[in-house]
Amino acid sequence: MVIKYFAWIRDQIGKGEEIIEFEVSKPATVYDLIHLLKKRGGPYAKVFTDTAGIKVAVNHVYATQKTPLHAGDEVAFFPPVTGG
Amino acid sequence: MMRLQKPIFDQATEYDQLIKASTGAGGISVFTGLMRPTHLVEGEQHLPLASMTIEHYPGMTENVIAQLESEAHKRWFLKAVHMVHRYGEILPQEPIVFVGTSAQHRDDAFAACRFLIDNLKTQAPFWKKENLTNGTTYWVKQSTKDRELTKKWGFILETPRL
Repeated sequence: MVIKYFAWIRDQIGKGEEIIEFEVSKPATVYDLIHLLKKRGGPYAKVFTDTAGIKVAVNHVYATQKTPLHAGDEVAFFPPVTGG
Repeated sequence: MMRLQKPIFDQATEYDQLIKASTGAGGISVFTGLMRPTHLVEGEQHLPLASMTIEHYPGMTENVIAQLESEAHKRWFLKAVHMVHRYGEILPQEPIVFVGTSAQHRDDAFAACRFLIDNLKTQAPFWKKENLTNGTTYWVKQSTKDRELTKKWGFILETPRL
C-alpha cells in the first residue's frame, strides 16, 4: 500500500511517500491505518493526534475513516486544499 | 478541457483557444486568478511575497477537476469549458488559474464559470505555500469564505471530517 503526504503534513512527517506493508488479514479501514501510523510515535503521532484538519483520499477519491482498504491501495493524507 | 502546467500561460492565447472551441456560442465568460503580492497578517499588516509554491496531487487533481467539469455540463448548456491551472513556482501578479466557459446564453456561461472556480478552490487538490521576502514560509489555510461559496453550489466531493 502506498501512503502519500502533502503540504505541511509532508513537511512534518519528513517524506512525501512511503510503502507500507499493511496486513489485511481482517477487513481494514482508514481508521486502522491511522492507528497503525500513530503507533510509530514522533511526527506521525503529532500529525494524527488531531485529525480535524486532515483530509484523506483512497485511490484518488475523497474518503473517510470508515473507508475500507485493500492491498495495493493508494492512500493520501493532506490539509484542506487551497487551489485556484 | 483542463490543462495542468508549471510554466506561465498567456491569457489571450487561452482565450483564443476557448473561442476556437466555441463556434455557435452566444457568450463567453472567463475568470483569471492572479497571485497576490502580499501575505496578510492578522491585524491587517501586509508582508511582501517573493513567490508562491503550488503543490498538487498528480492523478487526483485531474480527476476532481474532470468531475467538476462534468457536473457543469450537466447543470448548464455549455459549448466549451477551458481551464488552465499552474503548479510549481509562481511570481507575484502572475496568473495562476484560468477558467473559461462558453454557451448559447450568458446565464449559463457566467454560472458555470463561477461554479467551476468556486468548487476548484476548496475541492481540487492544490496547496499554496507563500514564500515571504523576509525568508519565512507559510502554508495558506483554506478560507471559511471559500468554503461557504462552495457549499452554496451543493456539489461536495470532499469529505467534511476525517
